Amino acid sequence: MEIKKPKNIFVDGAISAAFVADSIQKHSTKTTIGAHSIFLGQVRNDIIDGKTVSAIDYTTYEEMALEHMHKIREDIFEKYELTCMHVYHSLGKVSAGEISLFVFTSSAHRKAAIDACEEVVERIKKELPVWGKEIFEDASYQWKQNNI
Amino acid sequence: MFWQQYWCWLPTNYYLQMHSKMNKITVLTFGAITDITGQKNFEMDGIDSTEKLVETLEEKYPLLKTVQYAIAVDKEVIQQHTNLDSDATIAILPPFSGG
Repeated sequence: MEIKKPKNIFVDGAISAAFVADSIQKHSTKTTIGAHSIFLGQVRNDIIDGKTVSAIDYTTYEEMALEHMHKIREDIFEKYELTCMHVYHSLGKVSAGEISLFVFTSSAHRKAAIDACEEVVERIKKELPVWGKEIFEDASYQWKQNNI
Repeated sequence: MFWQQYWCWLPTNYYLQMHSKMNKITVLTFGAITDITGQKNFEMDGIDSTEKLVETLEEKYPLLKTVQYAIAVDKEVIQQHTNLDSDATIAILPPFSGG
């Protein structure tokens, strides 16, 4: 897993558990933090019309997505008392059982971190130009639809 | 292009430059929309509004009439049809499904 460029939320392929653990570890120096909230989106092997999803292939309109993510970030920091916030989203193929979205918010007290994390996840799913192509075991595919 | 660089003092070429510039837009497609158009990005001439763009695209790719999409002009999703400047980048966006 490689981060494509600085301040980019997109990573190639799945987000590893080791990366998540490392992100948590990095916050031990920020001692004003009293609470972390983490959301991990995992690719589910849905069965659609008898066919099983084996992976999701993610694509994006990167420039627009990053600009919009910047706006979401500004809105969230204005609304909640956060110490920091990190977002990582996979691009390319992520197999069932692997992590494709990692949202990590930290604050002095739990409520801000929890509420901000939830709002960021909802806004990412609704507002970011990212598309998931559900690939079935027989290599056929369909375009994923998010439940709003 | 050769004539733009070296022949721009000709009034006719000023006209040609302006004319070609005013009409050229770039169209980007994504996801299910790319499946329909068969190409990820392409240029179109003579399109001065999103209304005209939709009309032209739906005529060329009738399947577009059967799917949902939003339109972004220079990375901003529009809520109603708008005029298009020269060099505008228009993205045809199927429903988002990230996360």
